[in-house]
Amino acid sequence: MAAPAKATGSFMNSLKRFAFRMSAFNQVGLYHDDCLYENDDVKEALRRLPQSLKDDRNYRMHRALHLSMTKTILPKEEWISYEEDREKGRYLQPFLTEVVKERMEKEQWNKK
Amino acid sequence: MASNALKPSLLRSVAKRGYAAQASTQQSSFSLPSHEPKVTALPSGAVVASLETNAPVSRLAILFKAGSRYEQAKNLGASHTLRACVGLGTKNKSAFNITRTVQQAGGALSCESGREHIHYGMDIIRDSVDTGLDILGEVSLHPGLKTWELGDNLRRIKDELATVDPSTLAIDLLHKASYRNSGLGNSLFVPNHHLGKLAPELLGDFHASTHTASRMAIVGLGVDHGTLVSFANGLGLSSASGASTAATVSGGEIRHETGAPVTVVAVAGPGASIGTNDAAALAVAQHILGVGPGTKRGSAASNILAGSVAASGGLGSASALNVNYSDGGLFGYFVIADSASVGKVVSSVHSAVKGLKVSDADVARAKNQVKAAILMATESSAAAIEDMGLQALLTGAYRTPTAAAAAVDSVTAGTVNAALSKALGGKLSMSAVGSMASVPYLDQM
Repeated sequence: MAAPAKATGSFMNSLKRFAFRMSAFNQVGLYHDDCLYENDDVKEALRRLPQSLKDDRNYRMHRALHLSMTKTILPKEEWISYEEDREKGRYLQPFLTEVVKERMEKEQWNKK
Repeated sequence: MASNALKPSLLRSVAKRGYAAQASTQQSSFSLPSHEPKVTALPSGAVVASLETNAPVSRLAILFKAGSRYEQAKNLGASHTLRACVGLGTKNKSAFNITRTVQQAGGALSCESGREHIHYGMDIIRDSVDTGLDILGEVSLHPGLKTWELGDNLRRIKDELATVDPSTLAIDLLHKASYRNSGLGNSLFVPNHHLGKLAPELLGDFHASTHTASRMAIVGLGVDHGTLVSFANGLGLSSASGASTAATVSGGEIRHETGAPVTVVAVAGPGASIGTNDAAALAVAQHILGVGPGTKRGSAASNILAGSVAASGGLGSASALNVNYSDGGLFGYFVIADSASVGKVVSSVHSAVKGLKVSDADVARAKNQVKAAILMATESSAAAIEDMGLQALLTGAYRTPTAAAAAVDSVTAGTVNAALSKALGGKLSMSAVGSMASVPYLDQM
């Protein structure tokens, strides 16, 4: 069973890489969590984000907006690699998971 | 059936009414079992004390030696912040969860802190004691200290700071003047320069160094002693001794000008520490001087301080001040007066206190007042558990109010005079809040 599982894993992996490339957000220097739709959960998670991470996020967004305005992209060596996005791009997740967990907890309580 | 009829059940009175038409059965004499307080000192250094009250509500409390006296310059205000953060999320529970669980179980969570202690309290329906202990342990031992929750909670702390009344401030400054830089001089409140600036790591360090087994007391009213002991054993706390400070009275004065039409002045010398003979003697002296009117809307004309305020021709009131800590205390007086005449009032009260020589008749009267005050103060179980907690924490034992009242009996006029001259002959300190124009300095009195 191990071999097929691994094969599926590597297939999923290359599919993820493909999707990452095709999205082209990396070409304007945005991380995965920079592109989240700002629903209430994300807004609350952003409020909890430490200031330094918030500053970095704002910088990336400003840069991306500027690039979009001038209809250019970053030089290729500054593109965000898939690995870097995996490593640093999920900076909001710990906060977001906690927010979602708290919301689910509230919903569970209110169901009773 | 007989045993059922004796059960203290909520429905019992209803049943009685329903069967009122029937001939009542003869009630033989019946007395509630009386319980003695139980105190267990655990090997870890923690003290567990409890008293069965047969009440339907259990009062539980965990106390730590984590009051403001254990703060240092870098974390001044940590104990106030920790107190204000009770009820926020912990490491394992969210704030919402805590609130709902406590509500569901029929409880009330509270936290108080003093210069020496932090008291986490839980009043809860007897059936839910386990839930209560669970929450209490979580709240006191694993505070979440999340940056955003601390930030949101700042409003509450600011609100508390804004409602500190001048007399509280005067007592705070009196401690600052007396104890200077030693721990007991620290304010109960977070200083302005630390407001919102105490980082979670700093608070966490303060918490870790003060919330240890050897600095802990767990007390309960109306709860099984064994339950508390096994709860205390299950906490798995380190028994590190943590920070400690000496209580040295150095003396000094602090004047805080606010321009208010009412001025508060507090003056005190070194008092007695908890549980000593001097503490009983000074408690008697306090009641001889006067602690406010004993008759409702009365003029308090019978006590010495009220008499000296009246004689000064000024407008105000005065009461004696007696605070005891584990290794020291303050004894003196406290004046609230119209800012125009505060000078006259303070001078008059000061000479009355300094010149006090008590007689046997004074002592006999005041002893009864002290006993009544001790017994009355512990009538409500909220005050009783606080008293029990502080005793267990600071002395490692528990003396019942009756025993404490009995200890007053040994006080004589001689011991009171000796204690008074020790307290007022020592280094005096003074604090004043209000309009300083006519407030005398310590060396002018």
